[in-house]
Amino acid sequence: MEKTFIGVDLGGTKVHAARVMGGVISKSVYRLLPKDNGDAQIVVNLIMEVVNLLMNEKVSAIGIGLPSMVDSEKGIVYDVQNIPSWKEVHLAEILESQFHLPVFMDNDANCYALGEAYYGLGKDSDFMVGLTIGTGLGGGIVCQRKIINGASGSSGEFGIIPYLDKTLEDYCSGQFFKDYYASNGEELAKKARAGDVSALKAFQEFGLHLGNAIKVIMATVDPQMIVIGGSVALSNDLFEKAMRQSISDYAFERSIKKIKIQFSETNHMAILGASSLCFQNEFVLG
Amino acid sequence: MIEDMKQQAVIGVSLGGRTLLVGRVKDGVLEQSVTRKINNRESEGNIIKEVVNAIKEVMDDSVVGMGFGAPSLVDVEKGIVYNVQKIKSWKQVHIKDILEDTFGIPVYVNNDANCFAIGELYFGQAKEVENLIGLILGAGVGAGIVFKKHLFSGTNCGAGEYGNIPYRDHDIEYYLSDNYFDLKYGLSFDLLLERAKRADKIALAIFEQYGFDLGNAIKIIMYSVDPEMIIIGGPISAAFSFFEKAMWQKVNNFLYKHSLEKLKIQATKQENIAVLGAAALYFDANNHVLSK
Repeated sequence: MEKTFIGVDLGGTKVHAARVMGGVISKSVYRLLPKDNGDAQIVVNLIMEVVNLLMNEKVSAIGIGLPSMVDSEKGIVYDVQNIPSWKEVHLAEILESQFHLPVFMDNDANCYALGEAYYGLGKDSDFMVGLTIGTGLGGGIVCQRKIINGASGSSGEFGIIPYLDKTLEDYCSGQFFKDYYASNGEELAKKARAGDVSALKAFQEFGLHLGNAIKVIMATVDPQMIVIGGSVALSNDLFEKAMRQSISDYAFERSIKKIKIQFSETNHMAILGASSLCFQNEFVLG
Repeated sequence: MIEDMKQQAVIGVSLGGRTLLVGRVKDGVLEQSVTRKINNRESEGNIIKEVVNAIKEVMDDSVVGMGFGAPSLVDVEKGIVYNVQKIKSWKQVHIKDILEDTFGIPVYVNNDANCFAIGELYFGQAKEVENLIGLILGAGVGAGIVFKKHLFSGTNCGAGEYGNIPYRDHDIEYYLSDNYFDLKYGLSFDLLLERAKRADKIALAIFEQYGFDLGNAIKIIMYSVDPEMIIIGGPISAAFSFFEKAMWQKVNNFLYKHSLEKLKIQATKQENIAVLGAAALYFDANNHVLSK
């Protein structure tokens, strides 16, 4: 009998949740986050609301992906950037006492990578990195279908690595288009597809920088595979070639020949990954 | 489990650009070892002979396996070393096959940085640690990564190649390898170390700058793999006390305070860590099997 879990993805503008069985989403809901995130409790209530809407007697655990540093062992989330009041929230405790079910938590990029490892492009890979390119650049390292958290859950933070005059994130996320082209990625993509030369060039440059980011990932962890998702990744047709060109001069030829780099085929990996937190741990539910 | 395994004897072989170190390890102790100077312009076959002869000197009936480490690219599965640093003739040597055929025991091959890291886990300062980095600073810059008490070589034994990462005007290796002292200051590392010990102000200032660069490199390591502990090895670790303070100044800027609280950075204290680390490859490989 396939187990049923609830996966929750807390994003920049909304909280999204789904009931998942056997890797298939049977029902999903979302709630927009209030623009003024003053009270920590409001967001906690929204999470409880979506979980409630999906809860039934078959659900055996809840998994949550959050856009910040998470202490997975203690179930505490720290310093969520887009929710200033969330400095230290003992979320697992709060939800466990409400729903009387085990609650698992991890960083959202880690969940994305885990989702791809279980249900997506990383299914046959022993060791992969998942990269999310959206408003920021996040990464998750997954080895044999387990997230490699490191000492405090801050592994895979490739975005903050210094690059040129700033960080990898500044050049390899939506931020790049904002800073250098005064535009958001989506609008620029539309222009590029309509043939706008300057927009096309923007994506070429982006591909170059992303290629450099990939080289850093290869040098640090040398994965078998890198899967790329997130909103900017949807425009990969505009930058993939430049990205592969940029990678081609990597110092270790064998790594370049063998590495697989692919773009996400569906949008749900973060939520599916969040639900898989429920069984990727040692404490498999009986 | 780890303790039981230490009852068996294992040979560690560490092939460097100038020196060959071979030892027999039992109960966590180096029982016997030999050191041979290598003429790195010798032929592939002659150096193989040197390696085999040195191993014969420490081999006995209690030995159940062997680990071989070299500063090179490695195909871990097939046990092949490619382009060993400073040894021109060793372009592609099937050292695992050669040694297994000669001695009839299982042989595990990896690069020197990985041996260093796993050596510290089994025999050094990292026994209680789950996730660590062994960072070698010498002619090159490379790291070995241990995740959840297992050596993590990466898919092509290319994990931990921090030297290649762009940094300032070049890359990390440019600023942190021993070559930099000659390049920038016209002084050898050994000379600088001597002067620093005598409190020479210029030498101390040079090591302070080195510490700043090292601290920045360590932040990159932390952002990628978030270890609990980083152990510094290689020849430059001898100057650790002279660049430690500057290093921490930069590291303390790290964004995630929780990781920072836990992080320990130490210089290696094990004299024979290269040989012990090579031997530890055997334990790491067999621990893996047992943990499944």
